[in-house]
Amino acid sequence: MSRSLLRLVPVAVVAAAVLVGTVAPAVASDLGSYLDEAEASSYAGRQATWSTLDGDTTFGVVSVEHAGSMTMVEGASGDTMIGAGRVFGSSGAVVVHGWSAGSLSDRYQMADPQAVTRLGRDATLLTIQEGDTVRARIWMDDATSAPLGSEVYDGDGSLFRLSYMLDFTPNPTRLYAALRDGGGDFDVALPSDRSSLPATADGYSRLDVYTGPGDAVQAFFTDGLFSFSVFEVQGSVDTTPFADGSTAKINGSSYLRMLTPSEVWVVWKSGSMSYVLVGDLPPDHLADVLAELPRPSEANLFQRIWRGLFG
Amino acid sequence: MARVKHPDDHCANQDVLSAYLDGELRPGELDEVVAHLTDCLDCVAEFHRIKEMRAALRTLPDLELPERLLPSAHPGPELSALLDGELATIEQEIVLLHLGECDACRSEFHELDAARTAIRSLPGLEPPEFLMTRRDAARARHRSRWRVVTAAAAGMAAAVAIAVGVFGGPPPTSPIDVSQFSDQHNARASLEPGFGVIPVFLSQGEAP
Amino acid sequence: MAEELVPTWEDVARRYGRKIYNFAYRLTGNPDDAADLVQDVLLRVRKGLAAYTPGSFDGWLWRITRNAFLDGVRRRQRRPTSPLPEDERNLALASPSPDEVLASVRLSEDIQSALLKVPLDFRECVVLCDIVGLTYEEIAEAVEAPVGTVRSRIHRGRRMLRELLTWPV
Repeated sequence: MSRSLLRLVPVAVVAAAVLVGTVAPAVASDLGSYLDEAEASSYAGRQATWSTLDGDTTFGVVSVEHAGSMTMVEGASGDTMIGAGRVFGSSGAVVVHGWSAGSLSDRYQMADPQAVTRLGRDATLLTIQEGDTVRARIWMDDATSAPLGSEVYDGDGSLFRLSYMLDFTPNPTRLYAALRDGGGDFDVALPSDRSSLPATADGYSRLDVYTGPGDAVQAFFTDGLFSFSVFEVQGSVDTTPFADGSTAKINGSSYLRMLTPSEVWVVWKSGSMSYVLVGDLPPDHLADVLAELPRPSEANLFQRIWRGLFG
Repeated sequence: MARVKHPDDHCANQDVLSAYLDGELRPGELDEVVAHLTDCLDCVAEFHRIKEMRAALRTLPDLELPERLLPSAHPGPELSALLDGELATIEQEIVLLHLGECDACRSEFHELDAARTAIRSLPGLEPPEFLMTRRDAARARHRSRWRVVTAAAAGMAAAVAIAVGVFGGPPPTSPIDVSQFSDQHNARASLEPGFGVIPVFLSQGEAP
Repeated sequence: MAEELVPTWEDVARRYGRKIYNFAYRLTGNPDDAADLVQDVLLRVRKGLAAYTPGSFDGWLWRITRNAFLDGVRRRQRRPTSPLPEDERNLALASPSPDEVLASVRLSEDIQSALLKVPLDFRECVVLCDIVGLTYEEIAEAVEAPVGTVRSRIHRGRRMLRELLTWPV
C-alpha cells in the first residue's frame, strides 16, 4: 500500500553522525541539557518497558543500540532504525520533511538532581515535577549520559510507565550491523496545511502537520516532555488493528483506547472524520487533550441516509 | 460519705478520664478531674474500667512485620506470577519497581521469561502448570489484563486486511496500517528530546 | 552544608513498617489486608518522597497510611470477601509459650473481634492511640479532626469495646 505523494529513488542512508566515544558529562543545568546529552550518548542493551492503565497492563523487552541520535531496535522480523526524523523498518521507511522546534512547557520544574547508583554504575536521578506531583523520573548514567531508566506517573501519583535497561553496555564497538546501505525506498511525509486541529491542546503545541500515510493528515503535538500525533482520516477507519484495545469513557464520551508498552492509542470518529491519536503522554494529560480536540459524534442523520443511499 | 450531686455536664464529659490516663489533659483540667474523682463513685468505677481496657489493648501482641513486605525483599514466586499476569495491581507495581533496582532479580526475571517463551514455542507441548503454586484466590484481587511482548517476537505490526469497520456496516472504512502510523509518529517524535524510551512495537496475537 | 536527609523507602519500611502493619491488622483483623496496606503505603511513600518537603514526617506518613486504609475499605466494600478460618488468624501472632499464655491468646482474639465491631472512626483513634502509640495531637493530624474530637472518639471507643467484651453480642 503506497504511503504518500512522494516516493524517492533509493537513497544512501548516511550512517550519520555515529558518535562512538565518550561524551564528557557536562554540568547540565536544566532538563533540556540532560536530554540533549542523552541523545548524543552511545550504548547498547536490553530495555524493558511496562505500562498500566485502568487495570490493563502491557510489558515488552527490546534490544537496542543507540548512538548519535539514532536508535536501532531489534525485532523478530528485522531491525528498525529510528532517529533524526526518520524510521527505517522491515516493512517500509519514512522521513518527515522539515520540522519546527518546540520548547519545554513551563508547567515542569526539575528538582535537584541526586547522585545514585543504578545497574552498578554512578548515575544521576532527575525528578521532574508538575505542580505538586512528581510527573517523571529519569536515571542518567554519569559516564555516558545514557538514560538507564525512567518512570512516568499519572496525575494521581500512580505509576503509569516504567522503563529500564535490563543490561547495559556503554560505547559498544559494534554498531548498526544491519545498517541499510543504499538500499530501500522511503516515503517522505511532506508539510501540510490541511489540519483542522487546534494549535494548542492542554499545554501541548501543534508543531508540525504532515501528509500521510496515505490520505491521512498528521498533526504532531509536544509539550517538550511528552508528545503525540493525531492522524485525521476521512470517513471511517477499520479498527481491527486495535482489537487489543477497549472502549474507554473519557470526559463523558466513548473512545477506543489501546495501550502498548511505550504508547497509548486512541481512535474515534467525529462527524465524517476519523481520528487516530498515538503518543506517550500520561492518562490525565490525554483526557485534557481529548477535551480540546473534536469530540466523538455520529455523523448526522442526513449524512447517514445519504451514505446509505449512495455508498 | 454522702454522694454529692453533680451538675449533669460533669459526668457527661467523661472523656476527660481517657485523656487523664493518656497524659493528655489540658492545662487546668487536672485539678478538676482529681477533685471530681474524689467525690463521684460512678466516675471512679468508669475510670477503672477504662484503665483496664486501655491496659488490655496495650498488651496485645505486637506482630512482626513479614520480611517479604520490605522493598528490598527479593520476589521469588512473584516473578513467575508477574509473567503470568497473576499479581494484584499493587503487588505488581512493587515487584516491577524492585526489578528496576535489583540486578539479581532482573537477571532471574529475564531467564524465567526466556524459559517460558521457549517452552511455549515448542510445538505440541502443553504449557506447564505454574512454576509455583497458584496464589490464593483471595490475594489476586485486581487481576489485570496482561500482555507480554517479548524480544523474540517484537516486530512491526503486519498490514491489516480490509475489513468491515466498527463504525457501521454500510459506510466504507479505510484500512489502517498501524505500522505506518506508528512509524510516521516515531519519525517526527525522534526529533524531540525524549526519555530514551524505545518504542516497543506491537506483535499481534501475543496474548498470554 | 547541612542537608535534610530524605529517607529512602527501604528506610521507611524498616522503621515504620511494623507499626503500620500492626495498625492495619488491628483495624481489619486480617493479616492479608494488613500486608496489602503496608505495600500500598510503601508505594505511596515511594511516589511521594520526591515531592515531600521536610516537615513532620510522622504526620505525613500517618495521613498517607490512613488514606490508604480508607481506600482499601472502600475497595473491599465493593467485593465480598470470605473471612479467614479461625486458626489462620493466629499465624500472624508472635508465637507464645504454651500453658498460661493460652488464656492471653484467647483474650487477644476476643479483643480483636470486639474491636472489629466498634465503628471505624472510633476504632482507628483507639488503635492509633493504644496500638501505634501516637499522641492526641499526632492522631488529630493523621485523621484530620480536632483534638477534642479525637479525645472523645478514643474514650467512646474504649467504652464501647469494654461493653462488647463484658456482654458479648
